[in-house]
Amino acid sequence: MNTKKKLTGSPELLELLNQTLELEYTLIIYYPRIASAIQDKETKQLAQSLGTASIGHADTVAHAVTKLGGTPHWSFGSFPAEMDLKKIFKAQLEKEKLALKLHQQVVGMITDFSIRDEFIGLPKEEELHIKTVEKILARLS
Amino acid sequence: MEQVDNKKKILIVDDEPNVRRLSRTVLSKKFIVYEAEDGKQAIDIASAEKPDVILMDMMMPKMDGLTACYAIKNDPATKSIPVIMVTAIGFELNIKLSQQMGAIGYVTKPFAPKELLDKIQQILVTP
Repeated sequence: MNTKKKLTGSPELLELLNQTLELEYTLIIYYPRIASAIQDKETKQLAQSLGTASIGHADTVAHAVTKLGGTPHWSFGSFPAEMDLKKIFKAQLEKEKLALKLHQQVVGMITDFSIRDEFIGLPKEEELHIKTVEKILARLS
Repeated sequence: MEQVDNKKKILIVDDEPNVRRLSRTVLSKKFIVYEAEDGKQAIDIASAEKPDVILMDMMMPKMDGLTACYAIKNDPATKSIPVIMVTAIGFELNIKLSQQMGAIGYVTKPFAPKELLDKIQQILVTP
């Protein structure tokens, strides 16, 4: 008898994961574009590193959706028409804070340990991202 | 005498030495092959050598392939170089992400040598 149980996530959890995924995709797509407009080399690298980190997060979330029987959705927020770096980074800060909140909620809702383990470190990483965006904003002031 | 000048140039970007070695083995008979182990190196080599095609891994430390692809496609000196993204995961979504960053195509790891050659040839003959 096959005792291996197929994992399924609640609709609420899958919705939350897909909401998180959309946010991570938005961050992935935004950061290289923003970085291309930054002149200072070190600040540019900081912005690029945030994009790189978001790829890892999106990967973890997309895998979790699939493992839980859902379908990862493709969508991302539209890019602002005006390239005002300060305004954009203020918006990025809010996105990173929202990402932290969503990852914390996800950790609280996932009951499967193998998937939960992959998410445990993400809120801490988001806290670092928030600090990095704040550092960039301080440089732009 | 080998006519090196007629050979097209391919830049392989991957943080895994085994993948670079395998790709070099497959491609070096037909192409001049350059290697980079992260996105930053890829941007530097693309700028200096102007390869005809870039094979870019998506997930890399230091600078990922998507960021490097965007930077290459956003630089007037390198924007015409076709970039093929290499993704290990095979998620449909990663392909869409690659398109957003300006990549012309993708291959999924692990890839067969013929698949890689066909993909590059197909891009090189496209005007």
